[in-house]
Amino acid sequence: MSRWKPGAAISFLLLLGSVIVPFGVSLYATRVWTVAMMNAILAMSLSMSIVIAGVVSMGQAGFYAIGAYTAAVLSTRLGVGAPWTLLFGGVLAALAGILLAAPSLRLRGMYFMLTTMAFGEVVRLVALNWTGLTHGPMGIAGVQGITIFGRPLSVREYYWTTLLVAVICYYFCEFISRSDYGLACKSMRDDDLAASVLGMNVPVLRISAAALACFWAGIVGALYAHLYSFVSPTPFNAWLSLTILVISMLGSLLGPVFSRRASYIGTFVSAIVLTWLLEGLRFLQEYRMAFYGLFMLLLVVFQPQVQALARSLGSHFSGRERSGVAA
Amino acid sequence: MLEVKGVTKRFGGLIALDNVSLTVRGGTIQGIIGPNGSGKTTLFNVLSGILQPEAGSVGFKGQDITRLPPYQRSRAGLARTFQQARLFASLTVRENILASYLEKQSLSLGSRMWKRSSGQKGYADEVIEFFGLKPFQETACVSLPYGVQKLAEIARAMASKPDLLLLDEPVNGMNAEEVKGVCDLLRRIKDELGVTILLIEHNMSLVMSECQVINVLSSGLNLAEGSPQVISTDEQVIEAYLGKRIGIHLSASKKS
Repeated sequence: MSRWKPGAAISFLLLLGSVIVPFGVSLYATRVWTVAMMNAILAMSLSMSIVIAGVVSMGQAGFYAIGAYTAAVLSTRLGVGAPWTLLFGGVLAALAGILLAAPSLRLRGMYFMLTTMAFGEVVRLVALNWTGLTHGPMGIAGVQGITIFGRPLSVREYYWTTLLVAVICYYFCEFISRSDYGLACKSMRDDDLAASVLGMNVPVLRISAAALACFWAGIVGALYAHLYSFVSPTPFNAWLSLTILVISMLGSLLGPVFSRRASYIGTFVSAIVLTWLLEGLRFLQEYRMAFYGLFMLLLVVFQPQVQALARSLGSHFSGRERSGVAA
Repeated sequence: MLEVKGVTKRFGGLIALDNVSLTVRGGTIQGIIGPNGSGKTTLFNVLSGILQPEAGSVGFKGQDITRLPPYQRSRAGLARTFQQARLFASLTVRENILASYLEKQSLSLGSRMWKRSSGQKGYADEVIEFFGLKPFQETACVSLPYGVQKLAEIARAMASKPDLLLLDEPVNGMNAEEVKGVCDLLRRIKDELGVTILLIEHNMSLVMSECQVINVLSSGLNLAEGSPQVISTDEQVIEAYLGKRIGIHLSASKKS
C-alpha cells in the first residue's frame, strides 16, 4: 500500500489503543471495556445485516441469550471447553435465526422489527420457564472459565480475547460486505422485485444475512457465559436489544468519519462511547435511563447535523470530497 | 422462443388479461402496443413471474415456465426492465451490472462470500462499453439522469446474458435523439448479440421502424397481430386508439 491513508492510520491507532487500554485502567474499567467489546460485536454483526440486506433485528438479545445458554449448558452438563462452546453457541443461534427469518420473510420494516423483538422476549421467557434445562430465574451457575494452557484467563486476558473476537468480527463484516454475496444482498435490499427478476433468490439472501448476524450474537453469548460464569434470563431483555440497535444506528452515523464506504469502525467506536455513557450515568441511579433517553432524543433531532459533520470530517481526513453526485 | 397460450389474469372483477395468446420467434424484435390500461405491463408481469395467471400457460424455449418463480425464469434466460426504471439506487451503475452478471454464474452462497469481483475487469466492463455507460459507471444510480437510468436498466438486464429481453417502454420520456440511440442499440442487441426482444412502447416511430411483428392489446384482449403495415391499417386497431369513425370527414385523418 503506497498511498498514505489517514483512515487506516486512525483504525490502527484505535486498535493500538484498544489493546493497551487495560494497562492503564482498573479491573472494573477493564470489565466495562470487555462489555463494550461484546456490544461492539453484537452491533457490528447487526449493522452488517442492516447494511447489506436491510434486515433490522430487534432481537439480538435473544440470540445472545441462546449463545450464552448453549455455552452454559454444554459447559456445566457435558464439560465442553471454550472454543467449542463458542462455535456451538454461534451455530445454534444462527439456526434459531434461520427458524425466525424463514416464516417472517414477507414482513418488512417495522413489522419485521416487531417480530424479532417479540422473538427476543420469547427466548427470555423460555429461559425463565424451562427450569429443567435453564434452572429458570435461578440461572446456571458454575460455568467454567476459558483456560489457556490449563490456566484460567485473567480479567485482562478476557478483555483481549473479546477484543480479538471483535477484530475478527470486524474483518468478517467488512469482507462479507464487499464480497459478491454482499453485492447481491445490497441489490436485494435496494429493490427486491428487480433483484428477483434478475435471478436473485431473495428469500435465501435474506435468511442467510439474518443467520450471519445471529451467528456472531451466539458467539458473544458464549463469551459472556464464560466471563461471568453465571447465566440468568435477566440481562437478555428487550432493552439490551434496543441498546444494540442504537449502537449500530450511531455507528452508521459515525461511519463516514473513518471511511467513504460503509465502515464498521463507526459501530466499533459507538459501542465504546455508548457503553461508557450508560456506565458513566450510573451515579444518576433511577434517572439514568431518562438522561440516556435525552441523549438519544438529541441524537435523533440533530441527526442530519451529525451526519454532515461526520461526512466533512471524513473527507477532511481522507483529503478528498465524496464522489458520487455527478451529472 | 416464447409461447403464451390463453393467459387470463383477473384483479378482483377486472379482467386484465383475457385469454391472451402470442408467439415470439427467435431473432426478432416484437412490439406490444395498446392504450393505457390494456394489460401490457400485466402481461410482462405474468411473463417474468411476478404475477401468476389464473389460466393459460407460458412456454419459454420449449419449457413450461408458468409456475416458475421469477429468479428461475431469469436463470433460464429471461430478462426484463420496468416501466419506471428500478435500478439498485444506492449502488453504482457498474455494481448494478456486475450484480446481474454474477447472478448468472449461479455460484453457491458460500463461494460467493469468498469471492470479490467488484475490482476486477471483465464482462461487466464489456457491457458498460457496449451501452456507452463508461462516463457514468461509478455514479450511484439514484443521481443518474432519467434517460441514462433507462439505458442502465437495459444494460443490467443484458448483463444476465438473456435469450429473451422484455423491455417495458424503453424510450419512455426520452427526446428524439435519445430514441434514435436506443433504436440503434436494440438493433445491435438483436443482430450482434443474437438476443430476441419483446417490447412495450408508445413511441410509434420506434415500434413501426424496429419491430417485425406487432401485437395490439386492448382491454386485456389480443386485438391484432401482424407486421407494422398490417397493424397500421387494421380497422379494429384504429378504433381502439381513436374510437369509432363517426363521419366521413374523419376518415382523412385516420392515419394521424
